[in-house]
Amino acid sequence: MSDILKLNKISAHDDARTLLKDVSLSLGENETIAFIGESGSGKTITLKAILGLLPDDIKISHGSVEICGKDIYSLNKKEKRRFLGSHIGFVAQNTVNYLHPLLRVGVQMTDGYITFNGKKSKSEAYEKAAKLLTSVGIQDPDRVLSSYPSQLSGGMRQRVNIATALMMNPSMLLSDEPTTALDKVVQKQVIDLYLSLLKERALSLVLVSHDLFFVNKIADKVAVFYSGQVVEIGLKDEVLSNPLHPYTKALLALSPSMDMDKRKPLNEIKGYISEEDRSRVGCPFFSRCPYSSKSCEQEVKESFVTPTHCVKCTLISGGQI
Amino acid sequence: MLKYILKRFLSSLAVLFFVTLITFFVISVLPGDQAILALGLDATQESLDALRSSLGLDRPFLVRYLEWLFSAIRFDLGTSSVYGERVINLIVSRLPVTFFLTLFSIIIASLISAALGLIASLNKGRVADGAIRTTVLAISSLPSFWISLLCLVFFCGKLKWFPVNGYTAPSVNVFEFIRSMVLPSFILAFGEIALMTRMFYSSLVRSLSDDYMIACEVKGLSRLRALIHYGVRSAIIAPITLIGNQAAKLFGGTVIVETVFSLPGIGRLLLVSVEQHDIALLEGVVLFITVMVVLMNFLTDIAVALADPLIRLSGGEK
Repeated sequence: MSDILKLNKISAHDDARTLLKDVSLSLGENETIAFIGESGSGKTITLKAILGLLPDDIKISHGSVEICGKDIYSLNKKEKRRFLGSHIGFVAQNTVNYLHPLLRVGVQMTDGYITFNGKKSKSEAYEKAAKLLTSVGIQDPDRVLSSYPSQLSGGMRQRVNIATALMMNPSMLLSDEPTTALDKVVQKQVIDLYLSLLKERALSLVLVSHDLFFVNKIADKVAVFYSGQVVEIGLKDEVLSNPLHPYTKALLALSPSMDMDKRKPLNEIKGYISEEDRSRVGCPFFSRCPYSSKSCEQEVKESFVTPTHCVKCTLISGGQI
Repeated sequence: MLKYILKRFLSSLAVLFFVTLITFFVISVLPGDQAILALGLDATQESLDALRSSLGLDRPFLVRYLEWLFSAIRFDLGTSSVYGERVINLIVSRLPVTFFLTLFSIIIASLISAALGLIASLNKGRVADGAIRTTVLAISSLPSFWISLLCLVFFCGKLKWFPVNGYTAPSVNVFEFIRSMVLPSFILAFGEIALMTRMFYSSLVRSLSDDYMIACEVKGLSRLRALIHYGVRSAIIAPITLIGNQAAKLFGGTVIVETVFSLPGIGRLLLVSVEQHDIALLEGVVLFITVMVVLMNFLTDIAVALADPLIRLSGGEK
């Protein structure tokens, strides 16, 4: 199986800090990878690095991003835009202004398609948009197409965003916390929508999510981010059922369950990702880790527990460099 | 949309009514009425009273106001005591100068400001951004009478590009008329550029960093389409309002430039009417300027509604 997406030791930094350090991962056809980790751990930055949409002050210092075998950082701006526009769909966090407030939904859904297929494809584009809206569960696509975003509910807007991302039949979809800012019922609908999309289409998915329930349902692979590094990556069952990195264990223990003791306080990971941790040579989780030892202060090597399950922790590598 | 226009129109009428009422009131309580002006300060009380009653000045204020209002609606603004002509004819003959001054300067100011605002916002934080904003602020800080005189000396005196004192009526020679408008229009425009550039700049900066610009990038839209169709689209609304307001302001604010360049416009008519206590003329000119300001605001509201579908949809209740 050939890789749709391959990140090869991507590092990024802004003027003061290291934001990503040696992030490597790969994604095959029809696979789903989920990025988990707390806020500020580098999940969204990684997504943006894949799209080449990092703000001007963040620079990629080394590493490469290959999409469908193409190194996208070797393309110029225009080539990159055209390549991404036709190969990748992106669903942003459900922000109010991801859809332009003054343009009709129809215009915004179709203008990408028309850019690639010429002005004559307009009616074809609208037909396609209507069909996609139906497939994401919108009953009256024509009304939605002629509406302004403010006339739609949050859940509807997110469906529109998903449908828009699918306009060019992308081989990969990137999705940044698609269920945030939606109520539970709509969240469930969006999750079901993703599951059915993945079933119906040949689609690889990169998903950033805080929702472990969603991740568990949908992902094939899971990458655990901490302070700009992937500290653990593997198949879903390997990571979620057999977490090896102390951070992964702590993160998974955070999810409250229905049968927990109500009198006990909720679990937490004490402390926060400090600025020193970001530029630390050794393990970034060092200062918050209950198992930290002297060997953690040096560069921690990746250890492959299985061919697919990789952990960066001295407990696993045995303190060997 | 129709409902919205009707609403705006009615509120414009209400504004007109109150503004004229207030001006009429202020003018009528000012010391020195038409009778004193006509007969002089040493006239006897009897002759003053006689003139007042023959002019109808002894009737109650409201009656006089309504009478004036109803004749004004029929375009009858009375006769100017200075010029001895009908006020309406005076205004109409002075209209082209002020109208074209306002029109030209607002077009010049909008185009320059839009271009500068766009260039600065696309280069936000770089040298071009700072240079543009500083220069524009400096130019707009210069007082218009001073810059008028400088331009007069340089462009008209030294280079002889434009006539020094030559106003040509559009009915005589349209080309010469436009030539005499160029310099004053630019000077008026300079005064507006700082504010307008600032407005274009800030709304563009906000718009260009909004999430929909990312959506454009991801969809593969060309840079130009993303910029014009998405970026500028939502950044245009605040400047439209500003341009409308500034145009309205310019209509009554061309006095200095008209005076320096000896252009027979509405501004100078206003000046004469105040200096000479020409009540009918003053009332007429004030009414005219008010109508223009209200009209500009009305047109601005419609332009904004055309640019912003959300106002159109809500019938203006946004």
